[in-house]
Amino acid sequence: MSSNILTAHDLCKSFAHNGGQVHVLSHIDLEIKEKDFTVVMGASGSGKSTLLYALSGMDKATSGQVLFDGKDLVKMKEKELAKLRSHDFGFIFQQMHLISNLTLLENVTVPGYLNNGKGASEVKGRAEKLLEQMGISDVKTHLPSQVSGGEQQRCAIARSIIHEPKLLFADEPTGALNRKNTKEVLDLLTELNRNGQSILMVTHDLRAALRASRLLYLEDGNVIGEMTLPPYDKEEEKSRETQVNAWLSSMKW
Amino acid sequence: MDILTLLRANIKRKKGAFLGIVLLMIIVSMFLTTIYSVKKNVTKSIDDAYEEFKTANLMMNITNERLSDELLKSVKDHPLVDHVSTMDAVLMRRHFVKEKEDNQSWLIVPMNGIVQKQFSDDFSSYLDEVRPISPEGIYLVQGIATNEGCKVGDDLRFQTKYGEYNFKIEGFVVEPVDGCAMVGWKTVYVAPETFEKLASDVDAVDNPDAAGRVTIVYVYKKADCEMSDGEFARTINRDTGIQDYAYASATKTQMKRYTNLFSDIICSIMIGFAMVLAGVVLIIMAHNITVTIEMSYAELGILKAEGFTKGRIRVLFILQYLLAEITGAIIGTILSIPMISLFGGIFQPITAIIAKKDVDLETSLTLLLLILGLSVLVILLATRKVAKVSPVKALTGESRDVYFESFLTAPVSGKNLSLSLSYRQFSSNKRRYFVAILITALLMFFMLTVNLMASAMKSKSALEAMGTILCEVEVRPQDRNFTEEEMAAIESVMKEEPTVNKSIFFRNEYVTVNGNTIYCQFYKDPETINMVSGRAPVYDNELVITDILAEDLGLKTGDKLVVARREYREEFIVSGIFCSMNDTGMTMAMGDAGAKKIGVNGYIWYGASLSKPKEADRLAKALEEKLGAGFKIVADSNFSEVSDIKSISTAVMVMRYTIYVFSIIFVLVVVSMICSKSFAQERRDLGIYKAIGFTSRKLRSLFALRFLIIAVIGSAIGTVLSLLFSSKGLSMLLRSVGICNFISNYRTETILIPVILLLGCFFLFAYISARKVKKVEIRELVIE
Repeated sequence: MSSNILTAHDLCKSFAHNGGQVHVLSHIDLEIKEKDFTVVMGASGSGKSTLLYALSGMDKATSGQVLFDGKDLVKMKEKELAKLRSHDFGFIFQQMHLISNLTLLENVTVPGYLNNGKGASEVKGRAEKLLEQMGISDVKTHLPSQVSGGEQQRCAIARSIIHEPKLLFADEPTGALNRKNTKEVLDLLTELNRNGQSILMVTHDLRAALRASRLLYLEDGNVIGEMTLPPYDKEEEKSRETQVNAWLSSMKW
Repeated sequence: MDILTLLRANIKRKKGAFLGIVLLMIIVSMFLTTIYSVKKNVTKSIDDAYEEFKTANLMMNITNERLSDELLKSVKDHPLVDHVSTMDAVLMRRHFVKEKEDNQSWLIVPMNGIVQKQFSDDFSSYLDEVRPISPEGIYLVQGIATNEGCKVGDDLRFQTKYGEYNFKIEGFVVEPVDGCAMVGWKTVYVAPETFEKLASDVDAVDNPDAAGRVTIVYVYKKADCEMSDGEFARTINRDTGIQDYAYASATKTQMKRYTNLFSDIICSIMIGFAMVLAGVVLIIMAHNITVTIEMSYAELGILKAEGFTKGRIRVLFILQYLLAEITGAIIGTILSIPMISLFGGIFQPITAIIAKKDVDLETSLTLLLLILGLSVLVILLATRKVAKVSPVKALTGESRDVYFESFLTAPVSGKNLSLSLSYRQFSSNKRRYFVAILITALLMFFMLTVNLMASAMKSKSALEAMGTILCEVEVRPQDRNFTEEEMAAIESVMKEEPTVNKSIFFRNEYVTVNGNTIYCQFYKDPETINMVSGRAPVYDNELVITDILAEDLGLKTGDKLVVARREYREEFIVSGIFCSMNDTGMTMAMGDAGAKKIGVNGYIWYGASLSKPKEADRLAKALEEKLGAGFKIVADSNFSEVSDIKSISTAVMVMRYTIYVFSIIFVLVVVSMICSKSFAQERRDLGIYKAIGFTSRKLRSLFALRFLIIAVIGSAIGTVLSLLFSSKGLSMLLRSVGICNFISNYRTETILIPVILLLGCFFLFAYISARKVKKVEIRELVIE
């Protein structure tokens, strides 16, 4: 049985709106297991992304605790959070968000360089290897504007794991991709998880949800359902889809 | 109305840019109004003082034994002359202010009600009435206070062969003709009874070289005489020969020019700087508009979709920026009022006349209107792209920035991550930072140029290049010329000393050349003359002239001219051009043989220039032992107190620091404006950097480093521009004061101080401007 890598207690997040408060996350308790591929689903506006950003320390929760390695992310200062992002967490955005004036290779190496534990040549070597794994080594010297959306997202994945994070967060990583690129990106994430990478992904894409080993369903800022699945196997995708669909229907998705 | 609504909204939303332009225009308009007003006020105050004092068109100082009644009558009877007046004076060469010897010639005259205006003791105003003087008191002119640093209450001593006279400085009076720091002789005033005593003592001895009775002759031309003062003086001398007998003479126009010379030069440099600042405002405005169009592409597209024509959008830009400029211009003009009085004051120690404090609104308004006109032109050019804004592209987001590879791109390195990332930010947005580089280069150029001028005012070699004779060891015989034996004794001491570079026996006198009174320098060894071209005078019929004199008299090397002095009238040949700023460059020089030919015998000053200045004290002692008493022997190795240039040096320093301060303010505004635009454009990237582990502090450092790179490039360009043009520009400007051989003296600090200042300011201001990085939330990257 794998241990918890991240734990949330009584997590709340609210925003000021029109003079009042909008509660997006309401007293959430949650554990993310090591080596799990956890996928959070829910309707638009259910608070999926807010939860992801609160758990990853990219955004501060209004109250509650987010514990990683025994430390509370909510109480961390900017410098500690920055260290966490450059050492322990990786993040994939829906819109890739590559730095537009850096080449693909540089987009991958820069966060690697921030991790002072590794030498520059070691980081560069690993980045090149990752780009090769992602199948984009032939365009590594291209700028983001010169490659396709799929290539950009694969580069973003490489960037997110260059420093071998303990936990990888992904916010709708296939949201801006076509069918072919979506499959390629999901295959990459599945492969990473198979190799031991813990992943927490937010999506409303059923195809993405099929890759999960654990599914969570969010509604109005509360986790209202959970489902555990065996490791993804392409051969069993049909039956997995039926199983997940049924669960989602029970969640009134 | 729709335009006004948008105008209000734009100003409110883009307060930073609006305030930036307002601030820059405040500085430009304050600077221009101040400098033009000061320039006009100084000139007008000098003109008014000359009018108020009814200054003669031609003034001559003639020793009594050389001024006959017939000579004076011939001038009085000249058909061009309205009237002639004279004043008795005693010429005093040895005087000690606070026990320090002043090297200028003083003319002591009796008060006798001739003093019309007196300064308050702190020189801040004129007294309502001239205070009576006591028999032990003396009134000086402000030029002496400037050069010697003396004040009311200080002691003063005259040393003559017939005894010593002690005075107390009781006040400073206005003397428009020779009161300024630039003129080499000074009129000082004593009580009538004191003057009588002094004059009778002088009459009792027979040594006109030390202290003598002098008559100051004032010649006024008739009101209907249309000749210039120079032509008038030449005509009078041609017809009467009176100037040939004067040891000093000058016209009203010449004296006005001397008085106004340096304030004019400094104002010219400041006006040049103000023009550069005005140019910077236009450049930054154009840059701001271009970036705004890029950043607000979608909004402009929407405006077009709503029916706004390109013309209306451009009018909106024009109104927005003109409003900022006009607001700045009004505030700047108001602020210039105290600045005029403050800045005008720095020239008073040089001109010795309190400058008016009027605001030259006419010139100021004309210039500001010109700037506004140019602004409209710049805005029209910068907003050309509005025509190309497509509503469809704007709404579909097709107008995003796309970066291209550049030959300047360098790889991001893990070893120098901050530096290489900063360089990448710069190299991928060169066009955006071109403006900052251009502005830095211009500011650097100006800072270096003014630094160069300031250091020239201090450096011994530069001063020598200007023709100033600076020697570590000086010897003057008291109240007489050197004898042949004394000169031989000095030479015998100095010949043994390897440290002696130059050994100079010198004297000076006014002579007449083709009817013009010219300051002439006499050198025992003409090889020590600082030649520019041709050769030093070798034979008794040769002399050298300055470039300025050559141009003024229409002479060149090889030409002949007639030099007249008293009863002598000899023909000479110009053997070359030399450099000297004496008499603002209107000077000539000849050797011992030539001097004798026109009756100049003996020398009154000896100087030795040393390769090891520390040896000065030892050499002075050796000379003292050899020569005995009766000489003034001075050892000075630092030249920090060269009185001739001290006042000018102070004014140049004020100019330097003014340029520094305004450059820094400009850098602050320019960096803030560019930084805030860059920040807005890079907000998304900043969020990404934060998401991958960069701290706000590191991102601010990247911003600061990027601007440091810009400052380094701009400074390098500015330095190259300075190396190419500063010396030439300054030479052209300083040529008007006789510095025809300006030598650039780029010392380490000349370059380092402005470089460090600019780089430091860029780094610091960029770091401060980038404080908004803290407010960038990674959440902004989320698409819900």
